[in-house]
Order: sequence, then structure tokens, then C-alpha cells
Amino acid sequence: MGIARDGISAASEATFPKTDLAAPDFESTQMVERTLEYLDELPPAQRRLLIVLFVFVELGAVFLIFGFRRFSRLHVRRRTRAISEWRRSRFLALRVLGDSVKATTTMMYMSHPAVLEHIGEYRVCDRPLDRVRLRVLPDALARDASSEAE
Amino acid sequence: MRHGLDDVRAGFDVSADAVVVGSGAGGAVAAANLARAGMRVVVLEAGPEVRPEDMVRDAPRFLARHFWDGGLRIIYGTAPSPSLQARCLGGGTVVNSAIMLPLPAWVRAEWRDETGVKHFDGPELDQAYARVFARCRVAPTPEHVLGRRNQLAREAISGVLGEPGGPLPRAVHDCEGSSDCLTGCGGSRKQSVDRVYLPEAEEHGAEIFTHAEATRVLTEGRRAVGVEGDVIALPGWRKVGRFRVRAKHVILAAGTMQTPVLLQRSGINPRGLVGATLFCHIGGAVVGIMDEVVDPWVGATQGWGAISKRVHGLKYEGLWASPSVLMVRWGDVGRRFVERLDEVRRAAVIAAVYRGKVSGSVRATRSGAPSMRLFIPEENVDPVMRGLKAAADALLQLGARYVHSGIATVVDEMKNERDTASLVSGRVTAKHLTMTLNHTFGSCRMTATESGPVDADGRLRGLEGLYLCDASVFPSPSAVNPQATIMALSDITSRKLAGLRLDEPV
Repeated sequence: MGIARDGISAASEATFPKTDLAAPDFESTQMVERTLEYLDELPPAQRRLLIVLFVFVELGAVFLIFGFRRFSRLHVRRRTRAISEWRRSRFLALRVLGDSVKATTTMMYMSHPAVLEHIGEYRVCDRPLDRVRLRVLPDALARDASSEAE
Repeated sequence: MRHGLDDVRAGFDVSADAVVVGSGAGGAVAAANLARAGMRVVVLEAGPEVRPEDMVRDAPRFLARHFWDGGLRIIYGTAPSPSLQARCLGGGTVVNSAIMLPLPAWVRAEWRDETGVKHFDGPELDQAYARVFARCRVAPTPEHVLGRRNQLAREAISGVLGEPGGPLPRAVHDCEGSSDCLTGCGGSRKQSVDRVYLPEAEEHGAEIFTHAEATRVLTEGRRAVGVEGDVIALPGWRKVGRFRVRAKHVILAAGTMQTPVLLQRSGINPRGLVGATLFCHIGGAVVGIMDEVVDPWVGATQGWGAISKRVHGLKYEGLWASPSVLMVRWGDVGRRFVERLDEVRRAAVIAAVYRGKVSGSVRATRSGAPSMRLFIPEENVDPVMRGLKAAADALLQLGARYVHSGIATVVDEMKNERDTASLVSGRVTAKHLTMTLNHTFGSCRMTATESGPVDADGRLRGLEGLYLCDASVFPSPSAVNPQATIMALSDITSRKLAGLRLDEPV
């Protein structure tokens, strides 16, 4: 599990690095811990599949990326570029690999309340039972309806 | 009466007149009809009940708990694509956009001619639709909950392209426009079958068991006599017990993927036709980043749509879902993705869903899980890409800064018609399509002749007492969202079985 954790951490940082953009990053959104919790929620076969994915990314980088080092030992910019290139590859297997990494990390990042707040998401009606607390702006629909009427 | 995990953890062994496997659109309608006719009915649901406190914006957790394979199901073949299939009480009706469209007339005529099943194009189906629509309070999406995102879809597709569209008819009463459909309607406005049909079945004595995954149909000679399976506990989907239900009638409504697999695992596969076919709607989506603030999370999830008159078999829809699901394919990675987050508020999404001519199969793996393959002939790509290009051009005409498709061989940020031409440049093949294959059908086709495994009464050929009531019986793609037709066909099959009138008024 340690190798998978390294892979998750390295891929999370590569896809959502610290920036000067005032956006939450992989650390402030606890992506590694939340991904591990998510894995525990999954059925066994899918859990294994994702673990294998991140182990493969971590170790397979030795062969997939020029530099011959484990994924987590590469500079973050090199990791980001690698995932981006996999996703645009003409080889289906590499596209699937890149898309799978991007999909998993994006799911975890975009479901954090701080990120939802950052993109400006709010609710039009209160959901008191939802742990993900967001601003409630009940008049937002009325605004759209009235602008349409004008 | 509902039995949750605490009631069934140690396993159970019961008998009934009818056992219904699956509690979604087809299973719930069948259970209600059979129970109303006086049968002792047991409903088995592999997943949990979705309680209001489970309906959270933490979409990955929700998907992990309430979808098959934790929401990570993949259909392989030409283009490996995800397929979201609900695994919860009420099935897909709890987590879809509740769109209720009857089959287009041309599809009904094609189904009748191709299969010889008269009710596909007869008054029985009209009457079944009418009953289902009334029961689910189906109505067009009201103007005041469309939100700017659906309004933009309307302006682009009808206003700019001239396609005839309208507010989508949905099984939602007094919609709040919260865009929460995918993770369950926390406001209890969606008329999903767990709120409509299953309570009716329970009123007539039906017993519902959740966390009960059927693994085998029990047979004696040439007759189905029940089902057995595993009790599954969350989280982690551990098997904690066994169950058996003996019944005179077995109704399979576990969906296009699970139903054929359950039959195959039981050694029931007349002439090898079970799971020998599989159809899906294919397509894609474009995201326009508008100059104006759209706030796409405001308004009905899918409130507006159009059936194209230019591209036969193509349907447009305004769309939104949780960003954690919708954005997995958006843009690049790293800083280039993060710096685009400010633009999410300006996003307008239009999906293009194409009926297509695809073929596939469903097979049980050694572990008992379904393995799906779908093959997409190249001639299907052009109509999809023409549809996406038209939608992209329309969004640009409405002032989009750029349009994004998520397709690898297409210009990433399309800013003019020269860029959108990359959608139809011929560099996009079936392998490049990026889509989610949620509409799946036809793994156990209903035909009047022996060419399909299911007869016109919904009975599996070659075995007494076994009926199918889900999208697996569709003879080919429906061209529209399948929920209404699943419910209507299940209504017909279960009424025939229960001896209820097919012309019962609404």
C-alpha cells in the first residue's frame, strides 16, 4: 500500500500542484487521505484496480518517462507534463492511463468544499443533512427567470 | 415492509408467489402490479436504500456506495467508456434526471416490424405510458427552474440552429432547480419509483429486502422456482450472509448488464442468445465558456432538449452534474487546469446523444461480474461529430469565449469555426469518442419469433415462470431516455402475468 500511496500523492501533486492562483491545492484538500478513504468505500475489485493503477504509475514511470526514476521522485512539472502527454498519446493504453489518473484525482479534488467554494458554487435551496456545506442563494433562479423575461 | 441490512445480515429464507430481482424502473412497476393483484411479492435489491442524509455533494462517496462497481464500471470494446449504473433502492430512477420521453413513432414502428411484437406499436403501449406518466406526475420542466444553463442550450440549439426543442418532460413535481439529480433529490421532488411504486407495492403486502444480491436463479426441471444470493454489507461491499427466496414466478429486472449475467451464471441461456447483444446510445458533449456568468449549478439538471431534424437519431440536451463527475475530462492537468477554475461559473454544457448502429455483448466473468463489449462502426462517428460541431458553433455564436470537447484529436480551445472544423476533420475516429454510456439496452431482446430469448409476453423462452422487466428486452436503442419505456413495458408484462386489464384507465 505504501507504493500506491506514493503514487497517489505524486499524481495528486502533479494534477493539483501548489500555485500562486489562490486555488486550493492537493495538500489543503487532503487529497491523499481522502483518496485512501474513497478506496475503502469501493467494492474490492475496483479498489484493487485503483491501487494497481497508482502502483503502476509510481513504478511504471521508470519505463514510461525518460529519466528512469519512480514517478514520485520526478520533479512535479515533469510529472504534470507526463500525465498530460499520456492523455494526448496516440496509443489507447496510454490515453486510458492518463485519463484514469486525471479522472481519479479530479474527482477527489473537485468534491472538496473549499474547491466548490473557490469555483463559486452555491445552492438554490438548503440541504441541512448534506455534510458538504455551501452558500444558499434562494433567489438565484428568480434572477435567471426575470432576465429571460426582459 | 422494508428489510434493511440489520434485518438481513444473518441471511434469510422466504417464500412468495413472485420474487422481483431489482427495484428500479422495471422492477418497482412489476412489484406494484403483482402485489395489487393479490400476489405475495418479495423484491430484492442488491444495493442500499438512499436516505436523505446519503444525498451529498461528495459525489465520489455517493457513487462508491450507490452505483455498481462503485461508479467505475467500464464498457470495453472500441472505446473503453464509463457506464454509471445505479445499485440502490429505486435503481436509476433515484439518480437520473427523471426524463420521461415515450419512444418516437419511427422507433416504435421499427421495433414492431423487426420483432413482430405488436404492442411495441399498439394501443397497449400508449395506455401503459399514460398510466406511468400520470403516476409519476410527468410534466414539462417549468420555465422558472430552467436556469441560465438550460436557457443557453435552448438559445443555441433552437435559437441558432433552428432545431425543434422544448422543456423536457420529467417525473419531478415542484422541482426546486437544485441540479442535484445525480446524487439523489434531497428535496424529495423527484418521483423516483422508491417514492411512488414501491410504497404502493408495500401497501399491498410486498416485502422489500435491500443489500440482497441475487447470484442464481433456482430451477426445477423446466421451471424457475426462485433465486438465491448473497447479503452484501457496506462499506466495502463484503458478503456477510446468504439468502434464498422460493417463488412460483421469478421476475428479473436487474438491468441490461446484471440480468443476462444472472441468467448465464444460472446456466440459463436459450440458444446462446442471452447477453449475445448489447446496444448503447453514444455521443459526447461540448462545454462553452461564456462571457456571462452562467452559474451552471442553478436550474434543473437536464431541463431542456431537442430531437434533431438535421441528424436522424440525434438528441441534444442541456446538462449539468456534480463538478467532481462532470469535470474529470475537462481541460488539461496541473496549473493549466487550476487556472481555468474561475471559468466554471461561465460554463454551458450541451450533450449530443446518438442512437447509432452499434453492437456488443454481455458475458459473465469467472467472478460473476458482467463484462461488456461495445463495437462502434466508424460510420457512427460522423453524425455525432456533426452534431457536436453544430452545438459548438452555436455556442460561439452566442458569445462563448471558447468551446471544449474533451476529445484528444480536436483543438482544445475552439474559438472560431476554423477550430470547430477539427471536430469533423476526419481525425476523430470511434476510438477517440469521449462519452459515458449510461443508456444501455437489448442484452435479452424481446421478439415474437425465436430470434430473441424473450417472447412477446416478457417470458424467457424455454423456461416456465421466468419473466424479464427491464431495458434488456429492448430490441434496439430507444433513441430517447429509456426510463419511460422500461416502466411501460414492465407494466404490460406484469399486468399480463397478474391478470390485470391492459386498458385500465389512468
